[in-house]
Amino acid sequence: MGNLLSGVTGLSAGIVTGTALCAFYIALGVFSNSSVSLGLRNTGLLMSASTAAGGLTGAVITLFDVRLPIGEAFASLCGLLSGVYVGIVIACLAEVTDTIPVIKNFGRTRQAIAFLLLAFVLGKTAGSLIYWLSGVF
Amino acid sequence: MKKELFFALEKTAYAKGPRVPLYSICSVYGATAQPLKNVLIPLKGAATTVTALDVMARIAPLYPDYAITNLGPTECRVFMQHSPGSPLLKVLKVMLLCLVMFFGGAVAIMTFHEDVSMSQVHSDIYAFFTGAEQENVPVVSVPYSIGVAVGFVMLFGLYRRRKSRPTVLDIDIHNYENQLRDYLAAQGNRPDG
Repeated sequence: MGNLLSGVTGLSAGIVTGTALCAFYIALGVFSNSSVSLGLRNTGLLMSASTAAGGLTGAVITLFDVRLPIGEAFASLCGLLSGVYVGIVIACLAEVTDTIPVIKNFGRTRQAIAFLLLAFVLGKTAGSLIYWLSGVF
Repeated sequence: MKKELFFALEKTAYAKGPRVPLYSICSVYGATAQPLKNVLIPLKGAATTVTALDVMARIAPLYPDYAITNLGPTECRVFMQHSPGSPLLKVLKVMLLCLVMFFGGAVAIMTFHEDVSMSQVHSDIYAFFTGAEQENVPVVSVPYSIGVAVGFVMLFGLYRRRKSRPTVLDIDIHNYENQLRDYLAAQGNRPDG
């Protein structure tokens, strides 16, 4: 009986966590904006399937001690792609909170806004690199 | 039978000075537009709404034996253009804001990674793919940092692209400018000035 209750609780917890995370990303507009920026349409099924598969894989990897030793290159690839995803989420967050129109007042031309965003992005990359490559943190 | 004259207003117009010539906000069909060049409309404040009735009252004396009909929108919002200001000050402001965004973004992402213990996740990924436990994994972390920049730039389109495919940034700016125009037009129409 205890096992059954634990199993049901775990299932419910998983459902709620996955739904909440996905709802958060949909509200930010991550999936729609990223597919529009590449010129793709009708990507709903693609987005939901790949996100669900990724979430399942991540949960299995972190909770169970599984290994798939195929080499360092795949670890780099995983890091690169997850970095792209984090960048997209940050950009959508910046768009939803209307930070771009707020900084628009400082630069009247589109070029100035592009410079500001580029400075923002380079700052984030530099911060990440410093965080990992220097021995301070 | 009276000759027919049709006129149409623009929906929005930008004026270079405190008075705007009728020629730039109104076009006519059925007669020459020459008399329109001389009529000036004074602007009140940052935004003025010029109604079709107002325009008709001004062009009726110019075309005495025409029957005038409005074929376009019933009002035109005319906005005063800002004076350019000193370019040096603008460049300084942009540079200062660039520095703020650079360091702010750096510290923000550092605190975010510290908060979610991303380095532990990276060494877990490395352990998953190679089987070796390691504290610092630049193999995973450096592509991740580059990927953050790539993802951000991909969404906001800071590279050259076709004009027919606007990015999220263009639409955002367009929405904000529309809201700004609506606000200015509404301010111009308020009774207490």
